[in-house]
Amino acid sequence: MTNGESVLCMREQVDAVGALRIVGSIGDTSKAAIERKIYYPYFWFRARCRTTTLLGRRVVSANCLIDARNGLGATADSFETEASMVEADALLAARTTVGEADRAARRFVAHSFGRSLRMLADFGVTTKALGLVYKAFWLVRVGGLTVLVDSMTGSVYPMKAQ
Amino acid sequence: MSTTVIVFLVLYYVVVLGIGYWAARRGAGENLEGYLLGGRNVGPMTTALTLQSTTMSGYMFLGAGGLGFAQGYWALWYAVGDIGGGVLNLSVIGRRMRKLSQMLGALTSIEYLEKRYPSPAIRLIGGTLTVFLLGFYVLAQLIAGGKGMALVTGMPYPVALAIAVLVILIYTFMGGYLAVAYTDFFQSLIMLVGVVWIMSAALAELGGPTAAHAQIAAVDPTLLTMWGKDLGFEGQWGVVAGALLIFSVGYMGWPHVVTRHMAMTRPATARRAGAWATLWNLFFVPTPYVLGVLAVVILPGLADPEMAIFEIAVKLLPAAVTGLVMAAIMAAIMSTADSLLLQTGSIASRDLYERFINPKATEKQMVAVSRGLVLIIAVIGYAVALVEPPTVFSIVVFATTVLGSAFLPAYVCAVWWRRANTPGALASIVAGATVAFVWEANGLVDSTQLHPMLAGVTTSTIAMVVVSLLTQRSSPVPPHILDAMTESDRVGPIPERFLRAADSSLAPAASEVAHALREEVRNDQR
Repeated sequence: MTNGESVLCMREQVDAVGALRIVGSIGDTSKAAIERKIYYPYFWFRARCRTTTLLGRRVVSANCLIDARNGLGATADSFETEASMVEADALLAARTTVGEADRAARRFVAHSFGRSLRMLADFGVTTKALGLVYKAFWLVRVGGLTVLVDSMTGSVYPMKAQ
Repeated sequence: MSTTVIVFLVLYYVVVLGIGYWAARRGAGENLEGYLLGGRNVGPMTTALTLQSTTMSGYMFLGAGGLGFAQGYWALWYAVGDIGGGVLNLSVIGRRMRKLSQMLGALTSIEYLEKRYPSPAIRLIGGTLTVFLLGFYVLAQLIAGGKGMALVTGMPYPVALAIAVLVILIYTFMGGYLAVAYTDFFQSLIMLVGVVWIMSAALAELGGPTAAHAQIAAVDPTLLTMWGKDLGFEGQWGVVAGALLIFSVGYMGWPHVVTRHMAMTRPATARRAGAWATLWNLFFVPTPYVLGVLAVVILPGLADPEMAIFEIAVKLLPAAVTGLVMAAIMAAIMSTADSLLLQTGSIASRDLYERFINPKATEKQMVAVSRGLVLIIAVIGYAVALVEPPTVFSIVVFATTVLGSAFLPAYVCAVWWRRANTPGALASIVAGATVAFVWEANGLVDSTQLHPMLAGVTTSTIAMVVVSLLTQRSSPVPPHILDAMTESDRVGPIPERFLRAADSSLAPAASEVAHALREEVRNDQR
């Protein structure tokens, strides 16, 4: 038994049975088996932007997740969190700092907002760091293939074939 | 200009504004995450038509018609390449570029080049060249907007031009809700219906296609051939090839176009969007060129051939329809100008100012740089467009030729050739841009019978291959880039059904998980 650690996790929408069903629906249900579960780290920010358009002043806020392994940014729908006890060997370690992540979050949100609204403006992006949050991924084995299943969205990504 | 035209023009803008407002309110509240999530729920047809509305610029309504008027059916060589250009671009680099840019963590197309070919010189040269050439491209939109506005409102050209420039600036600085996918979608439908309507009216006026051809033949039979007026391009396959290449493979070298791959939703959506775009192109793209040819008999003695389509619309369509169609055309020109200015501004601020001048720049400073540059372009553009306006066709062909020649091999090899390295990319960008520029500036097409696009792309491709191969030892491609390329082109033994179902936004996380698992195995073995 390895040591457990209490961490903040996104509440799962897809459990092991669900992951098997998703992968089975693409491949062969009878051959799909859970290989393991991995917890992936993200720096979680609440980003807020404000700007004036031709139709008046707008204030917009969004969740921004910065991948704590490689610093890549993404916006996300609202999600619930829960404190979970997770075995240490299932946790991937963060590699970026919260300072780097904060700058990446501001840059990413300003870029995304400007692109979506197609306008050049200072969106006055402010961020509120909400800490490190982990998302669970299921690694499902089907045939000679390992498939990564997002426990929040059920999206899949084939990882390797042997 | 009749009051009816003005009324319908205003009505059009009210409807567009209403659609924009409705779309903005649709996911309203303070938490407008839908905006930041970038049209994730927009389907393939809307995606495709939105793209067409923002890429089909003043060139299609002025340049294409003008070329058809001057050179007859020879102009269709440009249209042939354009019809399939979007799908070709998407098929060759779309999916791979989307994945590779995610793996490398690039937000802009110039930043992507630097991450794939690690060197500040790539970003400096690429960014500067792009800002310069997109500035030219914007100039074409300003001229098109000014000419269109003058015709629609009856105002003198300098005043109309000033209003067009002002509207474009407001659109760019404060556009916001006017520029959502649904307004672009509506706009592209009106554009398509508009040009088809003008074409129908033109053919009806001339008594059908056969009668139209007979009348054109009576004026100048060589306009009905694929070799241009007075058979000026007969047998010049080097020129024909360039005309075909410029809007087909050329797209793959335009930083402001390939950047769309990086924001692509799901590849499956993109594939279906590509099919819709091709269908739309099939009806839309050749029409302005053919209208230009028909204008030879509908508008004999037309002073400005680039106004052929506008003038046909005014002459033949009912006032209400003219108002709607002209409004859609003007809106499309504004939308393209706005898109180009945004790209130019963000490359100047992020890829040049933040990267090389002030790495700790605040968002406010970067916006000031972007807006300052946009204002400079607008002022210079206004002055040039007023004093001695070049043709829209010549500006667009110049800018797109140099962009395509400079960047095509760099973007294509970035995803397809593992040995493409930094010196190769640098040599390719510099050589391609230089040759295309020199060819254009000195009119070498006449003496060599080679289109500048063909000369430029051939040079940049040779430079990429030769220099990359010669410098493999001194400048190998870094392993993390090779790994990312492997991930981005991975098909291998993975069953097709899993590849189709894959969500490529998970690729960076999957790569990290795979890396961590390999580390774990190595540690266990120790």
